[in-house]
Amino acid sequence: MGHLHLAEPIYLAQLRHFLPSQAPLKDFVHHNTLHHYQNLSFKQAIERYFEDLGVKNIFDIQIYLDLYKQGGISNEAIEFVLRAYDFDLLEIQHGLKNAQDWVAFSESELNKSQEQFKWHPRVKTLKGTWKRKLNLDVDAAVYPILFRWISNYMDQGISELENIRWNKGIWDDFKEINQNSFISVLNHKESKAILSQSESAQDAFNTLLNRLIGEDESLIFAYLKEQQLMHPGWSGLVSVVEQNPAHLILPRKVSLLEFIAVELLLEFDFLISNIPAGRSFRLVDLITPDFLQTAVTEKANFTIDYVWQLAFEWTYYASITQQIQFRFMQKNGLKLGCEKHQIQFQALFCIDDREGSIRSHIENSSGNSVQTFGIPGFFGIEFFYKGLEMVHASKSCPAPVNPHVLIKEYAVHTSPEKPRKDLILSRNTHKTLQGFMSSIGLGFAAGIKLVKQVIRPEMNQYVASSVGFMSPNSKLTLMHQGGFEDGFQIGFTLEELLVRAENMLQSIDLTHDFARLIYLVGHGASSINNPHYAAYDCGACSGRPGSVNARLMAMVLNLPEIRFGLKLKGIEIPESTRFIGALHDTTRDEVVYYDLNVLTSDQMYLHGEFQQFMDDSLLFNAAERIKKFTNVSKRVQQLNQQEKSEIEDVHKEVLRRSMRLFETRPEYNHATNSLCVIGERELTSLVELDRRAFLQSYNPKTDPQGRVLHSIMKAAVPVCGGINLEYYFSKVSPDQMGAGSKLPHNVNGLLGVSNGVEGDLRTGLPAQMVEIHDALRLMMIIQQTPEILQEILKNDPVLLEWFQNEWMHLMLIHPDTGQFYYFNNQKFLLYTNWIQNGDFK
Amino acid sequence: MGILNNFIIIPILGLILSVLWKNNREKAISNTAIFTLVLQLVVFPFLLFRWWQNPVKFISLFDFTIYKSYDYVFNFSLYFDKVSAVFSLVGTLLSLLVVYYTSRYLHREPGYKRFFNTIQMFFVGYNFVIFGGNYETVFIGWEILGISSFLLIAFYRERYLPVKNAVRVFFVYRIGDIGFILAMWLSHHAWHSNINFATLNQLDFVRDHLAESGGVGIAVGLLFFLVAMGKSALFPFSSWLPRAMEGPTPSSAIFYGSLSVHLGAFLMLRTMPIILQEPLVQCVIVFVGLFTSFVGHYTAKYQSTIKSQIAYGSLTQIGLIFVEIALGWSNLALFHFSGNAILRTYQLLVSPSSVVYLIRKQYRSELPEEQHSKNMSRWNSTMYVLSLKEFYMEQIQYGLLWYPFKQGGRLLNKVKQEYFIATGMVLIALFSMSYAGLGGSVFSPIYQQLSLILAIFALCLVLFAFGNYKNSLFSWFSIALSHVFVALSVLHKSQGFLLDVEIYLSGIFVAAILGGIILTQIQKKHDIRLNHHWGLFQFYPRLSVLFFVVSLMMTGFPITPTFLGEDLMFTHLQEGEPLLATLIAMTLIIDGLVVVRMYSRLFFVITRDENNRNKFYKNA
Repeated sequence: MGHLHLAEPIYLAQLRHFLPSQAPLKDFVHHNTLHHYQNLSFKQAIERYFEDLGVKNIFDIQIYLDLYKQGGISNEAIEFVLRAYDFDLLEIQHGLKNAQDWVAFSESELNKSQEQFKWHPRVKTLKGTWKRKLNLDVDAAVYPILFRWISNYMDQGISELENIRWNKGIWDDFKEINQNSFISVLNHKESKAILSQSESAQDAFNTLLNRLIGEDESLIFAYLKEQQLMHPGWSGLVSVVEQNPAHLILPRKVSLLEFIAVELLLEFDFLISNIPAGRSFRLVDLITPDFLQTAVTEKANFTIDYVWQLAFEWTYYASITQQIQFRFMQKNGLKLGCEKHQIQFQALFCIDDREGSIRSHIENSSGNSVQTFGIPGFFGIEFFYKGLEMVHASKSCPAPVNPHVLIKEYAVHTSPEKPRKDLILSRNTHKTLQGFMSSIGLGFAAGIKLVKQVIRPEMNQYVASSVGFMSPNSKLTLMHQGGFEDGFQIGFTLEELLVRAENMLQSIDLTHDFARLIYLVGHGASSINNPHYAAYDCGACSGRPGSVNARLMAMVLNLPEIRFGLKLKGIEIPESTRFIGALHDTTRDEVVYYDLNVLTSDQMYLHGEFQQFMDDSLLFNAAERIKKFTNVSKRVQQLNQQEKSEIEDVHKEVLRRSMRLFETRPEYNHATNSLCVIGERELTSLVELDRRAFLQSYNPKTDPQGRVLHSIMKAAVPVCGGINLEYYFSKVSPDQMGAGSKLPHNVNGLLGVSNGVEGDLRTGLPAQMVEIHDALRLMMIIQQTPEILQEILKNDPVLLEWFQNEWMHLMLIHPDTGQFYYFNNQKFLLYTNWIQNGDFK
Repeated sequence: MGILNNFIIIPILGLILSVLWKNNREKAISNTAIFTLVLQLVVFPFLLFRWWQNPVKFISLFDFTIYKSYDYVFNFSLYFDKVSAVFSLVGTLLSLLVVYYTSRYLHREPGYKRFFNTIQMFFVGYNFVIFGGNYETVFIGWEILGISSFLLIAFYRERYLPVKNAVRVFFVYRIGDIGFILAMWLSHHAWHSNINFATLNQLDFVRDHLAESGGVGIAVGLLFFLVAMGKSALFPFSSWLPRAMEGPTPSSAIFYGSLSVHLGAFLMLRTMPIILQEPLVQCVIVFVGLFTSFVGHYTAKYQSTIKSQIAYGSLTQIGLIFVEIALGWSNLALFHFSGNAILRTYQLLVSPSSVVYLIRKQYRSELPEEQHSKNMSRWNSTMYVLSLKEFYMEQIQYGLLWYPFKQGGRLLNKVKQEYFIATGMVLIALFSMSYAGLGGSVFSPIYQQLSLILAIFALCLVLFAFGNYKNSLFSWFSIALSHVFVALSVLHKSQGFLLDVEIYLSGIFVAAILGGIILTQIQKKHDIRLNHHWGLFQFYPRLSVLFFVVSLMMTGFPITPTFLGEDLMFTHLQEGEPLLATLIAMTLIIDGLVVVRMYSRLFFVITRDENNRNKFYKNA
């Protein structure tokens, strides 16, 4: 075999590069869809991706022109972009500075580019050879079996296969089941021989490539790339799980190589069983030698589109920076915001863009007696969590972090409520006899239940409920008592806790002026009939509700030992101060508080006051959100949102829609996110952020070296950037990078969704989630000096990559002068506001 | 009189109204559907009351003669009994639920109106079937259901798989329709008159006639069973059922989880008087039903997608329902149908939630320990491999149904077109001579077989169209011509009855001309060869609707007199000519298939494959 020397791992590593890296549904975490291309600049990555895969991830010029006509892109922004950015590729039209000229130029280029990039040319050309020359449709024959096999193999609980000992790997188990069965999956004796006689999957892989394609390495790679990219969903999942097997609770040994080997075997089997005698189906024999060379290698060039994209983005950034600058000036002049003596409560919310509005509402409704902070929603404490009755632990911190601690929930007084068995949805209803009993016995009960659920939705077990994640009546194993479980240390040691508490407080500069009650508010979401439920929960907690983290950190900060330790480090928390963990449900606008029973009666009284503020702001928040919702009855829409009793009706509507089976948009999740502000709350508290901004509290004054800022950025940049870019790509290419409409989605093995029964897994976000999103990259605005930022970026190439390659924009607001700087070409350049007549309020 | 036809009129009015709304009037469109269904439910108790008052007199109140010639009567007839009652109640309630559900669920989905129009069309067809008083009326509904199924599966018409599967399902339905037409033809001759279900339910009548007419009872029973097998996805057709789940979840729930897929059982309930007289038919049904249940049981067990699991689960019970019917337990079958339909609707509607409650369950369950987890036994492994291969059903269907047509079509396309034209000319000449009474002595042996020859030629024309990938206009006109030759064949046999032929060809004529014009118009700007999907609906939204209507006319869909004409053609065929009848039935059915496939190739699927890539790969 001439090509055995091919270094397989490199081969596959290259292949993985093109595959989506989306985890199974339960671990859904937002990430940059093109993260394999992140070493390139955003524009280059988009062009390269188009050259590689034929998917254009930027709007067509036509869409931008439409936006321009609707006023979504301003003349000033176009001119700013043409002035500020270098476009060496734009030589043809050098010196184009005027917006009108630019629009005219784009219109003239419009037809050209549409002709050029209309189709997606890079996939299914080699495989098409068999169809063209031999009239054999390989995919139609292979996919149903291949997808069923891999989906069965990795299935986490839909089919009845979980008790089968499948632990040898995709290839060997495939081999075993074939040997065990009276009937083989394969039809032809030669393919059966390859299956039984190959020493390993690798061995078979090589043999099969040779028999199917030939020995030409470039052809082999081109073929494998094409083959895997025809079903990127499954290949990507296999690749992801291979690299991180912990994504599956029910362990399965998967590898991309073996998966490909099985696919090659099925293809070989189909071809050899159907080929007319005497003909060869090896690709080298069927195509001309220069087949690959004749592929058009035309470079993609999206400069014009990209200029438009930048102008689109700057149109928004310009208006928001102007408002922020205005507040900065006001603050320095008039001393706005929370007066220290007014503050009675402090509340820490997640950095999440959905929490911005509730923060404003609670500040307003309490007359600024609640001071709010923004912080990543895992509150600086990372662990695996095992709830009541849970056998397996789930991660509760940002996805890249690997905690060593396990936190367990245990019941104190009452025995935990056993989940009722649901006969109607049991697998047994699909069997002959049990099915007979169920359709006769349960059919009508199911009908009544269904009618009830449709007309008057109620909380039930189909709702992914954030509140249900942890019982308010249970306890948590906070302290390490020497126990270990599943290789984890149960609970934290005191030292570990002290470090985490100190870092957490310092990151948001909550080191002095403590209020009497301080709330740590995690967040989660509730939805029904929503396979992507994990995407709606807290991204900083790996797609789980943030309740455990919030409650745990509150417990930590209430510990006398920790208070003492913090005091030694210069953070003195008054004895009268009490921390309270809470959970905000962003879909339902409800809040649950934890461990209230330890409050003194004074504190309880105070808490009542806070709760009043919170309840009011939840109503206002619901009213703000409902404006964007669809499927809201006219009556609710027309309610007077100033009248409290009427707002309560609005809130009730918000509650109901979270439990409606047919509500495809229970909330909009991160849609419209486009901004991240790291700085003092006063910069943003009066700005109309419209739930578009991630807000991280940070005080530049107490961080002269930028150490705190650096650690903040290390967490915030990838999390916010990942969310933003996933939304961007799913919005721009809803059918290729996104998952398309969610209406026909079918759940596969609890791993992913596919369209209908036969299709590949769909990655990315469903169209309904990104519907109202504006495809803008994130603008990060940091309140710090250029010098400190230069220093941070110089020392952290990973962070630098995000900004330098323009995956995210960066601006600074100088803490002393209020001047804005924008990061461009590795430099911070002074930004002068170019909006002519500022008509902000 | 009167009250029963409301159940046909209300859905039809609803459908018409819902077509009239503009695309963006979501509320109006969905409210129309809801209102239609609610109205139907409101009238239902009145019907029940009248029926309860006087069941015997009521049974078959509505008989409307559409066409009558010397010995032929086409009756549009309605009928009501407990079977209709149960199917109507369950069907209307589930449809109402699903329509209410989708009115929100589909919000802002492109194709909102198309979806509701199709659902209402389905409901019209459904009511024709369940209230139909004779097989002719049921067949009208049957055809409507086939088309609406096609439209619903291909709801995401821009994607390849939904369209492919929609054509697939339509194919299976159409094959069943051959059985339907033949069974109707045979039973005309068995009863010597056009009978309705009321008569059919009279035991003595059935017994006497079946005893007289030898094996006809068996043939009719088996043919209707074939129809039911296709519709209810019994073995070996089962594999289309999960593949039909391509539309929005609620539409899959109502069609393939519950209502549509049980209509095969309905047809069996209607045919029960015949079945119960024929032990052989009973045996076949019991056997196929049990085997389907067995296949469903094991396949469902190893399905790892939630919708296919429910589909096969539903099938397991449908197999049993057929067994119950074959054994004469109609009450149990009705009860079983209702329970199964509702249960599967429920399961499908909450199926996206399975992720939540099953993952929650998974977190709470111990892993199977190494020593407890087991290797699969040989039996289970075999069952697993069989379920992986879906019990070879795809191959069986392909080999039995698709492949012969495809091969035939391919062969015929190798024949030079001149030969075709020449043969056609000769045949027409022969026919004219015989019609005029010329050359009787010389050609009399040919004249005797001329009907058969003409029918074979008609079938060849259709197969030619089936295998033709080069020119859509050629395909289109060969289909039209095949109808002409069918007409000639029958005309030759029956000598006379020009009026019947005119009725038959009138719709075809209009369709052929209109379709020809549309295709020529499109051809000016687009390549419309049939080896490829062209997705023309995006360029010609209006023309695509118009061409769809024209296609329906061409297939003898009950919107033109052609539908009646097809039935007339069969009346003229005598009992002793099963071969001719089969040929003609096949021609008519494959016609429909070719037209629908052609439509989907031209107007559906926005494609990104080879042909458009040619400019990127010059040598490809």
